[in-house]
Amino acid sequence: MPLDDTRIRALLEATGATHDVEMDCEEFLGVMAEVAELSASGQPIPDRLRLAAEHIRLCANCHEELTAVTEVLGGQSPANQS
Amino acid sequence: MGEDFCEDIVQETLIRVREKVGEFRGESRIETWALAIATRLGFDELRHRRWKDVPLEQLVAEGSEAVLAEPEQAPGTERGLLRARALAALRTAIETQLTDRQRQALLAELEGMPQAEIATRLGTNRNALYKLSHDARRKLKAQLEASGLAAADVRWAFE
Repeated sequence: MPLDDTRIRALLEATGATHDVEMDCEEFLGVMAEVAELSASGQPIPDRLRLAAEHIRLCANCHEELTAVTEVLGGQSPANQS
Repeated sequence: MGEDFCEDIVQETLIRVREKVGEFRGESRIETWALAIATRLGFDELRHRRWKDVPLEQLVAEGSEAVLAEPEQAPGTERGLLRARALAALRTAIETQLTDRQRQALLAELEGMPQAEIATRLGTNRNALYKLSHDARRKLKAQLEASGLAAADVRWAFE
Protein backbone atom coordinates (compact mmCIF):
# COMPACT_ATOMS: atom_id res chain seq x y z
CA MET A 1 0.00 0.00 0.00
CA PRO A 2 1.76 3.20 -1.10
CA LEU A 3 1.73 6.22 1.21
CA ASP A 4 -1.33 8.31 0.56
CA ASP A 5 -0.91 11.73 -0.97
CA THR A 6 -1.69 13.51 2.29
CA ARG A 7 1.25 11.88 4.06
CA ILE A 8 3.59 12.30 1.11
CA ARG A 9 2.62 15.96 0.92
CA ALA A 10 3.20 16.34 4.67
CA LEU A 11 6.62 14.73 4.37
CA LEU A 12 7.57 16.87 1.39
CA GLU A 13 6.28 20.03 3.07
CA ALA A 14 8.31 19.25 6.17
CA THR A 15 11.37 18.48 4.09
CA GLY A 16 11.00 21.69 2.10
CA ALA A 17 10.56 23.75 5.27
CA THR A 18 13.64 22.25 6.93
CA HIS A 19 16.44 24.65 7.87
CA ASP A 20 19.94 23.97 9.11
CA VAL A 21 19.16 25.80 12.36
CA GLU A 22 15.80 25.15 14.01
CA MET A 23 14.26 25.83 17.38
CA ASP A 24 13.50 22.64 19.34
CA CYS A 25 10.38 21.90 21.38
CA GLU A 26 11.84 22.97 24.73
CA GLU A 27 13.02 26.28 23.27
CA PHE A 28 9.59 26.77 21.74
CA LEU A 29 7.96 26.22 25.12
CA GLY A 30 10.03 29.16 26.38
CA VAL A 31 8.40 31.53 23.85
CA MET A 32 5.01 29.86 23.41
CA ALA A 33 3.27 32.30 25.77
CA GLU A 34 4.63 35.30 23.88
CA VAL A 35 3.61 33.87 20.50
CA ALA A 36 0.16 32.99 21.86
CA GLU A 37 -0.41 36.50 23.20
CA LEU A 38 0.63 38.03 19.86
CA SER A 39 -1.64 35.61 17.96
CA ALA A 40 -4.54 36.21 20.35
CA SER A 41 -4.28 39.96 19.81
CA GLY A 42 -4.04 39.53 16.04
CA GLN A 43 -0.46 40.77 15.80
CA PRO A 44 2.05 39.20 13.42
CA ILE A 45 4.95 37.21 14.81
CA PRO A 46 8.01 39.52 14.70
CA ASP A 47 11.24 38.59 12.97
CA ARG A 48 13.03 37.94 16.26
CA LEU A 49 10.60 35.03 16.76
CA ARG A 50 11.15 33.71 13.22
CA LEU A 51 12.53 30.40 14.52
CA ALA A 52 9.38 29.94 16.61
CA ALA A 53 7.19 30.57 13.58
CA GLU A 54 9.18 28.04 11.59
CA HIS A 55 8.98 25.53 14.42
CA ILE A 56 5.19 25.49 14.52
CA ARG A 57 5.10 24.79 10.77
CA LEU A 58 7.12 21.66 11.40
CA CYS A 59 6.01 20.43 14.81
CA ALA A 60 2.39 19.34 14.93
CA ASN A 61 2.48 18.83 18.70
CA CYS A 62 3.77 22.33 19.50
CA HIS A 63 1.33 23.78 16.98
CA GLU A 64 -1.53 22.00 18.73
CA GLU A 65 -0.42 23.31 22.13
CA LEU A 66 -0.02 26.86 20.82
CA THR A 67 -3.48 26.71 19.30
CA ALA A 68 -4.97 25.63 22.62
CA VAL A 69 -3.22 28.39 24.58
CA THR A 70 -4.20 31.01 21.99
CA GLU A 71 -7.82 29.93 22.10
CA VAL A 72 -7.86 30.06 25.91
CA LEU A 73 -6.67 33.67 25.57
CA GLY A 74 -9.66 34.31 23.35
CA GLY A 75 -7.75 34.52 20.13
CA GLN A 76 -7.99 32.85 16.79
CA SER A 77 -6.00 29.69 16.29
CA PRO A 78 -2.74 30.46 14.43
CA ALA A 79 -3.78 27.78 11.93
CA ASN A 80 -6.86 29.80 11.00
CA GLN A 81 -5.18 33.17 10.62
CA SER A 82 -4.66 34.35 7.10
CA MET B 1 -10.57 13.39 31.52
CA GLY B 2 -11.65 13.71 35.13
CA GLU B 3 -10.91 15.70 38.23
CA ASP B 4 -7.92 13.50 39.12
CA PHE B 5 -6.36 14.23 35.75
CA CYS B 6 -6.76 17.97 36.24
CA GLU B 7 -5.37 17.85 39.78
CA ASP B 8 -2.34 15.88 38.62
CA ILE B 9 -1.62 18.34 35.83
CA VAL B 10 -2.01 21.33 38.15
CA GLN B 11 0.38 19.77 40.69
CA GLU B 12 2.93 18.92 38.01
CA THR B 13 2.59 22.42 36.57
CA LEU B 14 3.29 24.04 39.94
CA ILE B 15 6.44 21.94 40.29
CA ARG B 16 7.63 22.86 36.79
CA VAL B 17 6.84 26.54 37.30
CA ARG B 18 8.96 26.58 40.45
CA GLU B 19 11.80 24.85 38.62
CA LYS B 20 11.68 27.10 35.58
CA VAL B 21 10.66 30.48 36.97
CA GLY B 22 14.26 31.70 36.64
CA GLU B 23 13.95 31.19 32.87
CA PHE B 24 10.89 33.44 32.60
CA ARG B 25 11.99 36.42 30.48
CA GLY B 26 9.01 38.67 31.04
CA GLU B 27 8.06 38.81 27.36
CA SER B 28 4.52 37.65 28.20
CA ARG B 29 2.24 37.65 31.20
CA ILE B 30 3.45 35.09 33.73
CA GLU B 31 -0.06 33.56 33.78
CA THR B 32 0.21 32.80 30.05
CA TRP B 33 3.70 31.38 30.54
CA ALA B 34 2.37 29.03 33.25
CA LEU B 35 -0.61 28.16 31.04
CA ALA B 36 1.78 27.11 28.28
CA ILE B 37 3.57 24.78 30.67
CA ALA B 38 0.27 23.32 31.89
CA THR B 39 -0.90 22.86 28.31
CA ARG B 40 2.23 20.98 27.35
CA LEU B 41 1.96 18.68 30.37
CA GLY B 42 -1.75 18.08 29.82
CA PHE B 43 -1.48 17.42 26.10
CA ASP B 44 1.51 15.12 26.55
CA GLU B 45 -0.45 13.07 29.09
CA LEU B 46 -3.54 12.93 26.87
CA ARG B 47 -1.42 11.90 23.88
CA HIS B 48 0.24 9.21 26.00
CA ARG B 49 -3.14 7.80 27.08
CA ARG B 50 -4.32 7.69 23.48
CA TRP B 51 -1.19 6.06 22.05
CA LYS B 52 0.26 3.97 24.90
CA ASP B 53 -1.15 0.69 23.57
CA VAL B 54 -0.08 1.23 19.96
CA PRO B 55 3.13 -0.71 19.28
CA LEU B 56 5.83 1.44 17.68
CA GLU B 57 7.14 -1.60 15.79
CA GLN B 58 3.77 -2.11 14.10
CA LEU B 59 3.55 1.54 13.03
CA VAL B 60 7.09 1.51 11.68
CA ALA B 61 6.51 -1.75 9.82
CA GLU B 62 3.35 -0.38 8.21
CA GLY B 63 5.12 2.87 7.39
CA SER B 64 8.09 1.03 5.86
CA GLU B 65 5.79 -1.06 3.72
CA ALA B 66 4.02 2.08 2.56
CA VAL B 67 7.13 4.13 1.86
CA LEU B 68 9.05 1.36 0.18
CA ALA B 69 6.19 0.17 -2.01
CA GLU B 70 6.63 0.71 -5.71
CA PRO B 71 4.50 3.62 -6.91
CA GLU B 72 1.58 2.98 -9.16
CA GLN B 73 2.24 3.44 -12.85
CA ALA B 74 2.70 7.16 -13.32
CA PRO B 75 0.53 8.75 -15.94
CA GLY B 76 2.48 10.17 -18.85
CA THR B 77 2.02 13.76 -17.78
CA GLU B 78 4.64 16.19 -16.52
CA ARG B 79 3.06 16.11 -13.08
CA GLY B 80 2.88 12.33 -13.02
CA LEU B 81 6.52 11.96 -14.02
CA LEU B 82 7.62 14.47 -11.40
CA ARG B 83 5.64 12.63 -8.74
CA ALA B 84 7.30 9.36 -9.68
CA ARG B 85 10.77 10.96 -9.55
CA ALA B 86 10.08 12.57 -6.17
CA LEU B 87 8.76 9.32 -4.69
CA ALA B 88 11.76 7.40 -5.98
CA ALA B 89 14.15 9.98 -4.50
CA LEU B 90 12.31 9.89 -1.18
CA ARG B 91 12.37 6.09 -1.05
CA THR B 92 16.08 6.02 -1.84
CA ALA B 93 16.82 8.61 0.84
CA ILE B 94 14.74 6.85 3.48
CA GLU B 95 16.31 3.49 2.67
CA THR B 96 19.92 4.55 2.29
CA GLN B 97 20.50 7.85 4.10
CA LEU B 98 18.66 7.47 7.39
CA THR B 99 19.75 5.56 10.47
CA ASP B 100 17.35 2.97 11.90
CA ARG B 101 16.34 5.39 14.67
CA GLN B 102 15.79 8.25 12.22
CA ARG B 103 13.68 5.95 10.03
CA GLN B 104 11.64 4.81 13.05
CA ALA B 105 11.06 8.38 14.21
CA LEU B 106 10.11 9.66 10.78
CA LEU B 107 7.74 6.81 9.96
CA ALA B 108 6.06 6.91 13.37
CA GLU B 109 5.57 10.68 13.02
CA LEU B 110 4.04 10.16 9.59
CA GLU B 111 1.59 7.71 11.14
CA GLY B 112 0.62 10.39 13.65
CA MET B 113 2.28 9.15 16.81
CA PRO B 114 3.13 12.10 19.10
CA GLN B 115 6.78 12.99 19.53
CA ALA B 116 6.82 12.49 23.29
CA GLU B 117 5.42 8.99 22.82
CA ILE B 118 7.96 8.09 20.11
CA ALA B 119 10.70 9.49 22.33
CA THR B 120 9.63 7.30 25.25
CA ARG B 121 9.62 4.19 23.06
CA LEU B 122 13.08 5.03 21.73
CA GLY B 123 14.42 5.70 25.22
CA THR B 124 14.99 9.41 24.70
CA ASN B 125 13.12 12.67 25.29
CA ARG B 126 10.96 14.91 23.09
CA ASN B 127 13.74 17.41 22.53
CA ALA B 128 16.29 14.81 21.42
CA LEU B 129 13.63 13.21 19.25
CA TYR B 130 13.05 16.56 17.52
CA LYS B 131 16.79 16.79 16.78
CA LEU B 132 16.77 13.22 15.43
CA SER B 133 13.83 14.07 13.18
CA HIS B 134 15.49 17.34 12.13
CA ASP B 135 18.62 15.48 11.03
CA ALA B 136 16.45 13.02 9.08
CA ARG B 137 14.62 15.85 7.28
CA ARG B 138 17.91 17.54 6.40
CA LYS B 139 19.13 14.30 4.80
CA LEU B 140 15.90 13.91 2.81
CA LYS B 141 16.11 17.52 1.67
CA ALA B 142 19.70 17.06 0.55
CA GLN B 143 18.79 13.90 -1.35
CA LEU B 144 15.89 15.61 -3.14
CA GLU B 145 18.13 18.53 -4.07
CA ALA B 146 20.87 16.16 -5.24
CA SER B 147 18.25 14.53 -7.47
CA GLY B 148 17.58 17.89 -9.09
CA LEU B 149 14.13 18.24 -7.54
CA ALA B 150 13.24 21.79 -6.48
CA ALA B 151 10.96 22.01 -3.45
CA ALA B 152 8.40 24.17 -5.27
CA ASP B 153 8.18 21.76 -8.20
CA VAL B 154 7.73 18.80 -5.91
CA ARG B 155 4.95 20.57 -4.01
CA TRP B 156 3.23 21.32 -7.33
CA ALA B 157 3.42 17.64 -8.28
CA PHE B 158 1.46 16.64 -5.18
CA GLU B 159 -1.11 19.47 -5.18
